[in-house]
Amino acid sequence: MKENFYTVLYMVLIAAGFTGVTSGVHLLNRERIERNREAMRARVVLRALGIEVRRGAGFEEIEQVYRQRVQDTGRTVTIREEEHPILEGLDEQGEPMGYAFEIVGRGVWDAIRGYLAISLELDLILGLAWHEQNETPGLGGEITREWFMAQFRDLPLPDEPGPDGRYVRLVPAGVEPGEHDADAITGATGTSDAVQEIINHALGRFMQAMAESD
Amino acid sequence: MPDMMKKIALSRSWQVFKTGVWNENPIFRQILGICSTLAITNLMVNTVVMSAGLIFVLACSNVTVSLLRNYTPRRIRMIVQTLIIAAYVIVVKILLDAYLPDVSEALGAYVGLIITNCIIMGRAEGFASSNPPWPSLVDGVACGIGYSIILIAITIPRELMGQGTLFHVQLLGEWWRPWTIMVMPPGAFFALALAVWIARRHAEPPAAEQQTGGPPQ
Repeated sequence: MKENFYTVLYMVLIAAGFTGVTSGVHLLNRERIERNREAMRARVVLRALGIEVRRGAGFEEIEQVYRQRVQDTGRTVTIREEEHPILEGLDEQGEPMGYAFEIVGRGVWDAIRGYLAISLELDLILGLAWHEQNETPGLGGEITREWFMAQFRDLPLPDEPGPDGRYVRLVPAGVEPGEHDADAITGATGTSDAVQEIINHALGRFMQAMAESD
Repeated sequence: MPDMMKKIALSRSWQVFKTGVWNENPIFRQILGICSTLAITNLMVNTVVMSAGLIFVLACSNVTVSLLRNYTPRRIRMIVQTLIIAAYVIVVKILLDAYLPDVSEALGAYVGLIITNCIIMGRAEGFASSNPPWPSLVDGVACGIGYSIILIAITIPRELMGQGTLFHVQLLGEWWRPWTIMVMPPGAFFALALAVWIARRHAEPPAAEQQTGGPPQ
């Protein structure tokens, strides 16, 4: 009986002690983690718009650039039943240069989220960047690498989607990419298909939202 | 006399260290921690952060388990060890999120999965629960280093042949056609098997193995 009591008491004390330690560490760093998340999202929006922030910049610097170069248009686009604000990127003179909005869809393992930027004339993808993905590192995870994202910088958009409903295509190795295409990732067909679907779905919704608001 | 004692203590620490890093290397001797070895060894950056996280958790949990060893009731010791390990892993995750958000993002779920790494539980149960804190710390660090050495040895050929890079820096030129299979799961099996083979060829077999004719399981 006495032994049982000691065991239970010991477990309770140990659990309380370690919960206290982890909660303490979390509380001490909570603000920093929150700001890191915000800064990461801001950085992704800026990257999609092609606005460079110094590598290794802290959150204050990123927040400052974001405040100067990005504003909310007040319009929204609905993608997969989520309403996302349409943001506007400003050039160095403060003139509007393009739109950016959040895109989302299913990846191979988990949801993929990022931002897509489109020119004011809606004829170019200005850029693409991701802030949430859990694709296989080294394979599908390559979508976050520079070579992949660079393909979408200033990629021309057709006036109308193709017969398959797609604006842009990810083509496998060995196929010559057309004017509106980018290279898929070898060995990561699932992720490549998912990204192609996410971009085209978002583009369709965005074009529709822009047509309706005009 | 105190000098003599110090020497003995130091040589015992060295023994424990050597055993952890090589003679009882968690991966190629004890065949522990294979899941993470296969999963994260396709990129050098991930490998190094994973190794650092594992060394930290292994050292801290070993010391804590050792400090509590005389108070923990035998029958709940496993639960207590899991709790201790989980607490340190959460601390690592929080610190990564706060100070190295990019790396934390790249590693994703793998940091949390340090909890399930058999090496940590194995060392807590096999060494720390019956040894004083100092040797337990040495054992934790040594086993962590032993794990890291093999991880890095596997990652170098995988990232280099699979992508032509190391730490994301392009080392092989345009002429190199990446062997995609090296960064895919099968590449991990090839690389691990080769690493274990080479390491075991060059390691002296421990006495126990000579008697039983097989590795301890």
